[in-house]
Amino acid sequence: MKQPANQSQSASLREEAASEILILSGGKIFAHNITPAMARVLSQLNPTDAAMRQRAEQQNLIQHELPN
Amino acid sequence: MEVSDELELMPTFSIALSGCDLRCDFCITGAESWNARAGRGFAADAMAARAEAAMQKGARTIMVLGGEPTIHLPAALELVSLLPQSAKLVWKTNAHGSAQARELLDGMFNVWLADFKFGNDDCAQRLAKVSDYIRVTQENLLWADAHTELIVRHLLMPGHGECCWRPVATWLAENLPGVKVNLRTGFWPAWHARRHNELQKAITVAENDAACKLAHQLRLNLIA
Ligand code: SF4
Repeated sequence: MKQPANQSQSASLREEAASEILILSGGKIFAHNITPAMARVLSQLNPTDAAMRQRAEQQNLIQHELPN
Repeated sequence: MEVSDELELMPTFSIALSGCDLRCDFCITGAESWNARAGRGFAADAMAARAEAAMQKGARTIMVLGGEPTIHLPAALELVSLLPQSAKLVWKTNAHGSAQARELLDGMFNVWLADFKFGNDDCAQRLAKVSDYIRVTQENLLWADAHTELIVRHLLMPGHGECCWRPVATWLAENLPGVKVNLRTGFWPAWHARRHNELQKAITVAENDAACKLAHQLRLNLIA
């Protein structure tokens, strides 16, 4: 039986959702499995984080995002 | 493609195999890492093709990780046999494999990214339900340092600066001087961390500072 569209969409989203973030009430942010796109977002949230900026810059080394 | 691991290995194409031989209650990937059947079936040839495509797009390394990849050793070795010689391969491990497993891995990976999680057997038993942790892990780290490029990771756990980080850091300074060490301070109370009172919170600023101070006192070669 064909899966309803919303079910198959959420299954494929689960497979693609590689990063996880946790924001504590004090504003501290934890992240793991950081993709280049997520690194860019995190770097914009805290531009003073030099290590995250370096991770975000890795995007430039990657020609295109790969398909899953 | 990921950029969250050690900067010198990034960007990496990471291949995560489910299942692990340890049972760390704070495991951030517990659902997959405690269940070796989680995820999709693994086809070494298809994965090798994807890894090669990632290299062409700019991946600096191919990283095989878990859970603990050693429990899937035949599949991991088959994958390596299908990858080009030029691929820089990283074996991300909890460093708790057997002597037989490490002999089979000899020469297969360019870098071992290995955890040294606990500073004593009691914490290892209580938090990860593993016995004889220290002896096995130290033996593997010494072997890895002698046979490949080694990076050691320690996840700083709240309340475990003295019982775990201090002995780990001291042993590294004495036995693997100059080895690259990544002190991870982003502990978050994941999975079953709530089973342990001290693990229900993040690292405090004071704990973070004390851990870094110790690393500097011992002249550890810290990397990010
Ligand atoms: S060794 Fe790593 S993957 Fe395995 S249970 Fe512990 S934290 Fe999870």
